[in-house]
Amino acid sequence: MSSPLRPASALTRRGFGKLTLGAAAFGLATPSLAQGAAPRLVVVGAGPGGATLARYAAQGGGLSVTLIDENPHHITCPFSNYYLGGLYAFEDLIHGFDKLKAAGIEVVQGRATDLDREGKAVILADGTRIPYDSLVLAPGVDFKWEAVEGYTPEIAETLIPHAYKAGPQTRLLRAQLDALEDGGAVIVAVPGNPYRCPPGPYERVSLIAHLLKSTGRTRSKILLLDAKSSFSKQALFEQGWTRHYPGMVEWVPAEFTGGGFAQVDAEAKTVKGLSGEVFAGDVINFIPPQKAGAIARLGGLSGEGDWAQVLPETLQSAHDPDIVILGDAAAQGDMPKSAFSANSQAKAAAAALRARLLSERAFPPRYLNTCWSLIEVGDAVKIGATYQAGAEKIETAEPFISEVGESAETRKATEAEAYAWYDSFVRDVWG
Amino acid sequence: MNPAALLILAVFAALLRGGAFPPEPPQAPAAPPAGAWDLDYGAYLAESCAACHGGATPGVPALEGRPFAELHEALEAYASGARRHDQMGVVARSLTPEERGHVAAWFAGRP
Repeated sequence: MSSPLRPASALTRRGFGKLTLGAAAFGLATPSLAQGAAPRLVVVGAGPGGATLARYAAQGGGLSVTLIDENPHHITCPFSNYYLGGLYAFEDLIHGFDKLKAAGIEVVQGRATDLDREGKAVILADGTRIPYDSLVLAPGVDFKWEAVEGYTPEIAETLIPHAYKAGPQTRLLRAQLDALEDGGAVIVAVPGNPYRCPPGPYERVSLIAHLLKSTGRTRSKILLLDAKSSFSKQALFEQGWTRHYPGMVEWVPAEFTGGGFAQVDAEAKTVKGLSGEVFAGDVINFIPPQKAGAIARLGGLSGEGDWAQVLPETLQSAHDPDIVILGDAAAQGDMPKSAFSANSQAKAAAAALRARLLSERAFPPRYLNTCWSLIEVGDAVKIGATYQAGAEKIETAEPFISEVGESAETRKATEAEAYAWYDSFVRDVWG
Repeated sequence: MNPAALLILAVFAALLRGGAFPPEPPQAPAAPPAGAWDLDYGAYLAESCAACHGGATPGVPALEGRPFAELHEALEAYASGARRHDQMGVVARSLTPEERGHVAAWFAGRP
């Protein structure tokens, strides 16, 4: 089912667009408009940020929207921990692009590797040039492979998965967990901030513990090696682990890891902290430190840093007004790097793009995030906030978080909400 | 007369008239006066709701076609804290009273 919200919104927007088309034609800003054609909007990345943007920007017509992704479908990180815990089918994480195509979006399967910003074109790995009037980059994260000795893409694909981009590695990690004997040790290694989905690794530890407990392997241990000395929803997770998985989860904070990791030894199955201390596990899930996807770091788009700087009001690059950068790749102020954040930013950016390209009515940006985490079946917690565009960055307006002393009924309602959100969210993003 | 004295006089005048001070916030109407709501703006505001409210599972209710008064009163109650829900509280308070009317009117007008 496509969201029943969409058609009416599209009609009202289109109606407004018609009224103002004359004004738009006099305010020519883009080459294709000058030629009388629909402005070309090109979107790189069909994850929660890019696909949402393409979908919302295409509503109401008037734009030529092209969406580029190297995969024929998207596999969501949200709910991939449920799969690891045996609570969700892998197939249910996979979302195709057919409904995006049906909405008039041209979907191009290819890897966008370069930008010609002067000539205003995206260049694919096979040399294809895709011209744009406005460009949106939503490439997600890349891993800092150079940061940890012995941890390479090959090792991640075969022996020590990061499973932090959902896909074959998610299945590999699950297979390794399924093969773990009772009494075995699992390591989950977590990087320093900022990284994708701050509570993600801790939900993962919870649902790995659920998998082990529900298959009678309660003598097993999960060693949670952390580059940080505190983490998202910490009190809630720690209380949950004590309650549901007594003796199974041990958190090893920065004081013992040294605040990061120096080496992964795939043969010996060890992780060495910057402290010099070496930790051994039968199954190792190593989540490397992260930076913006490569295309969002080209030509100074990320300045001197790892993340692309953007204007809080419109998500336009601080370095190029014809480029919008959103989701995990952006330095998005107080918003966490989450699928929910990317979806929220995409709607604000899509409205701003239609206002700029088609002279439609402009609306103030609205930013919102919620991250649900399942600790055990029937026991979910959440954290979130509303945000506003500040002068320098996107700022927290009003936050909320689940409480440690909540009733079982509340936790169960939060779990139902999480499932309902996923169902609603994937329709909102991919149609 | 200096501004402070004028203000004090104004307050006295208000009290004499039996007016409350500080004044009560204006009460939003319980039903939409024809043409009062900006449905284009409501449609844009409703985009934020679609992340959670567009599914077919019972954890989060659908909003389309529900009576304006019900939607509007719910938003007002979430905003004031009379009705408690983490997300809906912060979402309702991030909207102005007018915006709460626009978005409620848009959903009420959906089939």
